[in-house]
Amino acid sequence: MTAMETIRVLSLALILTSFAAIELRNLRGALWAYMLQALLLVAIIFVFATLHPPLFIWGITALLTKFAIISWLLGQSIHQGEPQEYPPLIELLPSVFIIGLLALATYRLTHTYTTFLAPTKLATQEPFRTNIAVSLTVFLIGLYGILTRRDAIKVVIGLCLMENGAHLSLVSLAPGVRETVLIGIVTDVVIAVWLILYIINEIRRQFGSTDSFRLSELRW
Amino acid sequence: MEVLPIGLLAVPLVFAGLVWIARQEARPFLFLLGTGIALLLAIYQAIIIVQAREITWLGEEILVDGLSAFMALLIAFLSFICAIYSSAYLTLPHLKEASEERLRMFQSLFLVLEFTLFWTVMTNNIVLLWVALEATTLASALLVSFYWNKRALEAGYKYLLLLTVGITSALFGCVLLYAAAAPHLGDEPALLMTNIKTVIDKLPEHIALISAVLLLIGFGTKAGLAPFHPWIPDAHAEAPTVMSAILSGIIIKVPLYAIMRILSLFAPRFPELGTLMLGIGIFSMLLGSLLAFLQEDLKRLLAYSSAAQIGYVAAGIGVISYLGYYGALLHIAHHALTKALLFMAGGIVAALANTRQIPALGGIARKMPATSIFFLIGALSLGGVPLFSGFISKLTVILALTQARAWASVAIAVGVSLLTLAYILRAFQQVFWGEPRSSEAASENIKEAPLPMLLAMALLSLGIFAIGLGVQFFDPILDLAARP
Repeated sequence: MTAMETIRVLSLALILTSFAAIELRNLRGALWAYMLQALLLVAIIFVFATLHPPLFIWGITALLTKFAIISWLLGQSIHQGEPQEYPPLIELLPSVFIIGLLALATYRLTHTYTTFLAPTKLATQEPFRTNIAVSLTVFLIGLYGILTRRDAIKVVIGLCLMENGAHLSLVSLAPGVRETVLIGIVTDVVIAVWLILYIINEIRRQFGSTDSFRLSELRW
Repeated sequence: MEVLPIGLLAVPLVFAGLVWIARQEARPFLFLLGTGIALLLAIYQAIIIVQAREITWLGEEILVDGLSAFMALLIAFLSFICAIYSSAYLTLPHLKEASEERLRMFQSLFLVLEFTLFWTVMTNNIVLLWVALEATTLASALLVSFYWNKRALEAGYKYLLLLTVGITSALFGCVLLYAAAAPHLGDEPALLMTNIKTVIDKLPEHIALISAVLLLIGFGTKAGLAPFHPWIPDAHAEAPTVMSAILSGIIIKVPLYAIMRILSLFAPRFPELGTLMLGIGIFSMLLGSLLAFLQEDLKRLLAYSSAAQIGYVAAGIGVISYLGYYGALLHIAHHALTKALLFMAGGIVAALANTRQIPALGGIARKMPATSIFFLIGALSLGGVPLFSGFISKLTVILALTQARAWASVAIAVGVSLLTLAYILRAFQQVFWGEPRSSEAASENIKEAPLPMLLAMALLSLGIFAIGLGVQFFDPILDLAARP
């Protein structure tokens, strides 16, 4: 299998795991889906690294932050509360439909209007084209999760998906960027997730749940 | 001269560490000392910049020009004032329950926040600008939810989530811009904004436009421009007063600085981005003042008014002219001082009376005469009365709008200014004059604010008059800053 085909298979799996992370009602299940996704992201970066060796460092950074640290933080928080999610605003079936549409739309966007969107020649070719489509899809699935889930933990998982999507786009668009800049970005992400979970843990203690609909004292 | 930016970045961090390990009695002193040294450095840097024009460090990675020096000066000044104010505020009766641990965290994180703010205004690296700006959110999140009660937690959660999600779109913008510039400049140089500026005309048109819009959305959310303003009242109202002052004074201004940088990159090629900014600014002005007019919670009223006032800044920037930038910067300085003063005066009243509801207060002026005068100074300045800073800054923005022949915007800006004067004076009258309208307002606890707080408010008032009466004194640095 060539690098290109590998990336395609991994990309498809990336979308499926994003979907699972958002749709699984059991938070532990969602965490497993997220962890699987982080591993796939690392795998994709390593495959890209065979084309562009400096990316190995990126893969290691992603493994450390996205897989190890963030999963651990999420796991800690999930273990403190109920494993079952508060029912979201949109049920499974319409969700499948919406996420499917999102994936199709980004795929068409990057494949039909490549020259319109891609900043460089390289980005108009495979596997970068597919990669940008996938990163946009993961980003949008994350945003969709943030907008429609009630459970604060699920919202954080959505945020992590958004960050993963942005991270994946960096691989295609800015592989030449130096490590210090990359480390700056992932440090911000890790601290942001840690802080939000820190606040959510206290919200769970004081409000008795992580249902973000109960956070309604502050209205205009 | 590199020592100045290095010092500005190092001093707050070093003192954050010192405050963290110091004994309880030494902490307020270290807090004051750290912010004080940073202020001296920032003043000296501004003086040097007027002659030297530019200081660079790490091969232009850190670049201080007039605009950076101006913003750094403002950050340092307001941080120092907040340090003075907090030396008394943190020992108020209602905070006594806050444990030593939390007070230590407050002072330490505040200094870390000051570092991230300095970093944001002095970096020349487009991606690190994003990193630093996100870092200001992270450093301030626990300060916003400092009280750690239900309302504060809710505000902190929304603050972090909305700002982090919003600013992620700016990350996409940064990456796109970098990727488009890299083929023309090479991997390393394409990170620096000064280099990107030289190739902006060569970038593919759609990419440049998409990245500019993404950056403006991301930074606009952080600045609290309408329609991304909903976090502003929650965070301002639930945070401790010192934090509200720094939020309104500085934290929502720094993203406007970033927007100014971005627009100065793109505006020569895409003038329509300026029009977009002008439109957003006008919309913020209208919506913010309307919501402020309808508010009965004192701190939320001030917060909504901030959303309206940054509309003036955005409109000034959107004109894309020397006068527009000049007015925007002047308004940034004016609003930083004025709103900090209002939050400090209003905050201490709310804290002592234990209520923020304007209709429940009343008759405070008899018990707190000095505080009421400071609030009045702030109110008149916010309303744009002559002799105060608000008059000269709004006048400059409105003149810039006139120069651009944006007549509708001129009319709205003048109208909003009158509306502002109306609601802030009404709030003043209801809070400070008349008879106490509730048991809280008649409480025995209400007495004149402690001396350090009065000193902080006096210094801010001095700043307001300095801008209002002697703006030519600040002209050398403003003139440089308005040519980014």
